[in-house]
Amino acid sequence: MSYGGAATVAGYSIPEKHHRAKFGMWLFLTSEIMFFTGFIGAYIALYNSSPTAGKDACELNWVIALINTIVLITSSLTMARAVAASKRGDAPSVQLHLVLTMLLAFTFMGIKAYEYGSKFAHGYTPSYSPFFSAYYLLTGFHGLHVLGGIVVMWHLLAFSFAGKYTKEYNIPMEVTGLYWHFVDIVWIFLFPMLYLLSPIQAAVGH
Amino acid sequence: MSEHAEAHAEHAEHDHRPAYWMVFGALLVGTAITVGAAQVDMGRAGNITVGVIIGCIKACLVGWIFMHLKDDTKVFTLIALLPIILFFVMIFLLLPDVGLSEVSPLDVPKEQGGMYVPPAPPVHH
Repeated sequence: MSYGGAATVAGYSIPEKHHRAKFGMWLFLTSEIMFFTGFIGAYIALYNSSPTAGKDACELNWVIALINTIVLITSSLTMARAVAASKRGDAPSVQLHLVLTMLLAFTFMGIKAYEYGSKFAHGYTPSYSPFFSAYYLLTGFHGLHVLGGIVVMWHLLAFSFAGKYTKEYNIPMEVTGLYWHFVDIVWIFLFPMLYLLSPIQAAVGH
Repeated sequence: MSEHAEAHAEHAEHDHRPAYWMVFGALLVGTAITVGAAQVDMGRAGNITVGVIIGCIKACLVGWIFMHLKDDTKVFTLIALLPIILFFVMIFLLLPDVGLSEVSPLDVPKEQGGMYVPPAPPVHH
């Protein structure tokens, strides 16, 4: 069913509904920030109490993580453009940018899978050290958020092809955009925290 | 319709595309600076501080422009700020444990009453 011509959705005007949906998403993101805060706190405590953490961090490949950072930043741009297109009622542009965002998300996950595979092959499993335990915890939950985003974007894409979003009604696009940018922000902090502090300093020291 | 909802409808028509490209470029430059700064030995605290500051600037750009905090009601900004403040409070509460204690029990071998167990060497194929 298209909401394009409807004056109300579930008893609210569309702009009012839009505002409430965004309010709800921001509250959800608040809980997400606290979710990752706990893990980051655990990482800081484990890193600083483990004598091998610096050496373990040197085993991570920061160049691969840099590529993944660029991939995720680009996906944030394509998502922002998809949301902007939905506000203009430009369905083909919405679909193009959603597909691009999903491709970039799959690329991110593919690179992450390669990285996990190479670490496991060398024996760096979650039980190897406190650093790797925290590393898999943080990147694993971040990866699950990326996967969740892909599932939601898949639905958005199907709904867009079905003509359910219009210039007036694009609430799901906007709140998914908020979620996806949050996933990007989490990675913005995880990248230097996990990959850059020890390896490059070790390289400089040599 | 509330004031906020009206404000949203008004802003929905804005063309944000140039701003999006500028933020994208700034995020790439910020990433390059993050990598570059990590190669300069500023001491552990210095490198962490620079990394956090650049990360915060990048996160603010994403929040302000990509997530439309610039145009939306400031209630959303306040909602976002609350957990961020709590995040920094929690990190500062951790500092006495991670920064001020010179010897961690994990640094002391088990034979000497500590908790340190050397990890098994990784398997190289």
